[in-house]
Amino acid sequence: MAGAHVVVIDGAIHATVAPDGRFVVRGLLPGGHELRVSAAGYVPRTVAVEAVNGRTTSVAIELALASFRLDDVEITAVADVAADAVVLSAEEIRASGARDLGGILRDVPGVTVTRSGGPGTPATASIRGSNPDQVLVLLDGVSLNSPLTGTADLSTVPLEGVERIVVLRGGQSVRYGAGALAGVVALESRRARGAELSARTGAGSWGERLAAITAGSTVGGGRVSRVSGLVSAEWRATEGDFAYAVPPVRGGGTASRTNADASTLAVTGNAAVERPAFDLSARVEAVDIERGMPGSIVQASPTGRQVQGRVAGIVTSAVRTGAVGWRVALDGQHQRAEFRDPSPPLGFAYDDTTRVDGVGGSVSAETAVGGVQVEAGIEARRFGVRSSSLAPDAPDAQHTEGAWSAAQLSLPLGSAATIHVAPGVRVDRHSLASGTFVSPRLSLALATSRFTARVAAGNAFSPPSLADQFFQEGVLVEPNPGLEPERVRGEIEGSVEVRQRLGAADVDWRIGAFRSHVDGMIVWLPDFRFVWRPENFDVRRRGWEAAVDARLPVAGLRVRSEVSHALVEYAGAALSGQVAYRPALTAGGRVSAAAGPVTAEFGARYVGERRTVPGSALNALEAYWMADARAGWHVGLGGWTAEVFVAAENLFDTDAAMLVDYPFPGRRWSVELRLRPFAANPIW
Amino acid sequence: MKTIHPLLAAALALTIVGCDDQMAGVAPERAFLDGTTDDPEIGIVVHSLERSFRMFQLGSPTTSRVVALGASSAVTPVGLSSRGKLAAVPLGNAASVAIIDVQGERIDRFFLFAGGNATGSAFVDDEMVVAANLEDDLVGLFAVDQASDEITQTVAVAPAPTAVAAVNGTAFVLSGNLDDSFAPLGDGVVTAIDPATMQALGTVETGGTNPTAMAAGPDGRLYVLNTENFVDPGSLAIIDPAGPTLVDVIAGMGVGPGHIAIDDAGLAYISGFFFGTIVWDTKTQSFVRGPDHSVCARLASGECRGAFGTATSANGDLYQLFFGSPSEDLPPWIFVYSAGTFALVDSIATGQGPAAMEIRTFE
Repeated sequence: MAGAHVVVIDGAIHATVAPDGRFVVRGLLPGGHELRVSAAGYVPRTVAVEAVNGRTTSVAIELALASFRLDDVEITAVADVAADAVVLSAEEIRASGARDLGGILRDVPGVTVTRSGGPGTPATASIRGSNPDQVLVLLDGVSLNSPLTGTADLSTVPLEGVERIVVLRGGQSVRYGAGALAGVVALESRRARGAELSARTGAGSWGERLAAITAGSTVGGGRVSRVSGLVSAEWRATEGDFAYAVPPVRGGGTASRTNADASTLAVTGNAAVERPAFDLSARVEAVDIERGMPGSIVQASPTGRQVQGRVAGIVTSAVRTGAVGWRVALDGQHQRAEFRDPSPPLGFAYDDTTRVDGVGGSVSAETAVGGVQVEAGIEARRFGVRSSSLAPDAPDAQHTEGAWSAAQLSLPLGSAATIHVAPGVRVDRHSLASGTFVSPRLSLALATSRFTARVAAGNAFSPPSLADQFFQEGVLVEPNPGLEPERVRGEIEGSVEVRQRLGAADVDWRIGAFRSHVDGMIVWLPDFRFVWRPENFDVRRRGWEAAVDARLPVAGLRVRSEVSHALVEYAGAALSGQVAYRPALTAGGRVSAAAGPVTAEFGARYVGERRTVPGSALNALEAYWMADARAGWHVGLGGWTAEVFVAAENLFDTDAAMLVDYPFPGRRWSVELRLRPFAANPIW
Repeated sequence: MKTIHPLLAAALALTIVGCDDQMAGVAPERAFLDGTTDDPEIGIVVHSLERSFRMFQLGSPTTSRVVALGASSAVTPVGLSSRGKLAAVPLGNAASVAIIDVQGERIDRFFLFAGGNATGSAFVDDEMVVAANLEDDLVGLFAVDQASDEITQTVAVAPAPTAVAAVNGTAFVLSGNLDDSFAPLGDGVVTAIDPATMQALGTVETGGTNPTAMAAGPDGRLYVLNTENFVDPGSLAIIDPAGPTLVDVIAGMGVGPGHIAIDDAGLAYISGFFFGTIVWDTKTQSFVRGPDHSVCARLASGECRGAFGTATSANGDLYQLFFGSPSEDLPPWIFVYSAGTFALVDSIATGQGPAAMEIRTFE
């Protein structure tokens, strides 16, 4: 029985049954032991063996076929074949060891994650050189972008309980409306698939601690109703203090970062009732964050503190009536954010509170008409926003409404190829921008089993945020109520994917290019008084991405690498060259290997030079490489399976920062232990 | 024993003679700071947004050297003073002063306040620099060759000091006299300080509010711009350093005047964002070009580009800084006006946010 798993329960020694049905376990202490043998489709069996010093003990084990009923097979369309998506599975999320959403997105080609320091510090995503508020981050379809700033803080999105992450690069307003100008990051929460229980704990440099638990259960299944429930909780904390290099303008040398601690507690629960042609699910989440806001290292604040809380819930129902499938979703959320700094390095004390209450809903339907898959839907959302950081004349509510329609037609081209045509259009109104926004998009794909070529063209938009228009900080910041929405007109992108079998290796290649000029990109600039103010600028945005993913299953080896190039250049006379803090070139690579119970991974990321000054290449931040390594060991502990991970980040102690005066920490270590019972049926 | 062939020896000799002739005919290459053969003057511009110190030859404006002042966004320089082969650039929110070796085209050292915002500076002699700290309401003294990088010799002055001038070995510090929200507490204040003891010798009010710029005239007097409230016209205070005492206050200096430079002939060039540059004669105490007829580079619409500062060359040509306006898609420029007529004769591309300028020779 090739591939069956053998565990010496008390010795934490593993073996895999070879194709000839034999397995060998060496190095046991003399005495009695229990072997547990398991294989898919067979009833696991535990047998006792006696090991004698210096002798070989033979044991024959026969497994009985298991008689069980398979659950319903659920097939979810992650994205249509015409869409250019990067999909990260639960396995990949777990294997990455990422602390939060920012930790895993940084390895996606075309995505740049900007973090303002160590673990727990705010992090944002840019796709193809976009602004962070041009990237929509969705959890089960509900936006996590702040209604105040338009930006999603990736550090506030834990990954415990996330089933899948889909990254769509390029304008996606055709489906997601406002804010999806540069792309979408869509997270899907996990449902229980049988009884499961898992726990994690860990620790690391600078006082980092972690504890997480997930428990779930399913009742019923098969052809009848199934009810499932899953609860996840995750807590992380770090002291955050680390040594950094003092910039020359403040005398050079080294100093220690202070007030950089952070703690996050997230609890998520979901329940679902699934029947043929009917699905009802509900999810609630609560996230609480407290952290120091230490400011820049030149103007450090020992007293700035931020407290954030978010409670959100969504109820989704999917019903199929005849040929039409209906989906209805209702969601609500309450957010609270407080920022206080009684003695900032410059200007007056801060004491800001922001409260957001939001409700939203959508109704959509899909059907097939003469071989054409057609979808249509409407969506509406309203936020009440009360913030002491906004000017008194700021609106205390914002709302958006949209209606969309999309179709997909698949046409066989001979026996081996298919052409997919996917037109769509969405019409939106948004209270922060005047007028109606029409976002059409047409995607074409030619696909074979080994090859896919795509091309797409469309429009997208993003309105100015409340903060852009009404932020009223007392010092060095000035809002601009006259801002226009950002528009992408006539975006064009194309890509080619090739899936090859080279010897024993599966190799996937992808290369893509885009042109996505932005009319009126909102960029904050200092004026002659060093007061920062947002303005609209036309920018020329274009570039390419390439990636390769090679897997050698026999050796448990996987090699991935990617490189992205995104030019984001001012188009006017006053300013020229790359927009500040957009690295034109980014790259990365990862090598992972698995041998029996041991896994290891080494990765490195390159971030190219970043301008810090609008319209000038002087004072640019240097390009850097940063590497990390991670090793795991899978062991049996009594009736439990344990995984131990040891990770080193910034392996070579590189002195670097994405943002000037917000340095990354140096080399740091972490250890993580994951536990689950043998009997559990975990996704991981 | 081998010998050199006579023909080869003759050829080598001719070659050497030829080289000598050529070398004798080549003038030594001019150093950048020597300027061009026609004009030894060097323009120095501090760019506040680009965070740079840029030097260019007046005789060949595209021949330039740039010193980056630092990537930190806290580097917010708006001032400049120079002496010998050194220049001092206060770095604003970085709370430090960069001393630049102009010959080496590099930053020589940084001198650090404990905190605050470093604004104006002046060399009181070849070694000593006085710098103002707007946030901490003090001025500090340091020697460019002192062992420590810390600015420890300080004296408190009236709130919001912005500019420093040195006259006959005495430092004069101009304070806006503003509260923490930058609202005037009263008229501006000039404080005279003895650098040897770092003691205040005396103070005088400027006869107006929110003064932001000061220059010493060839008559030995101090000329202070009261910027006022950016709605009503500002005024020019004339101060006798002896005392110091307020001699006179001249009204009508345009709305929001922000910079003053005085040439050797006694012409005061008063610049502002809303009008360009006013020219006022300190000798005759009259306008050469008043607010209604200011010196400016006009847009196609006929409006004046504002001016952030000026400097004059030895022949009296006026070099005027236009800060640029990204929101109006207007790039920064240095505009050049001919002496006397103030006709616009040239424009020089420059870095983002030109904020301070000097023209001088380094012979």
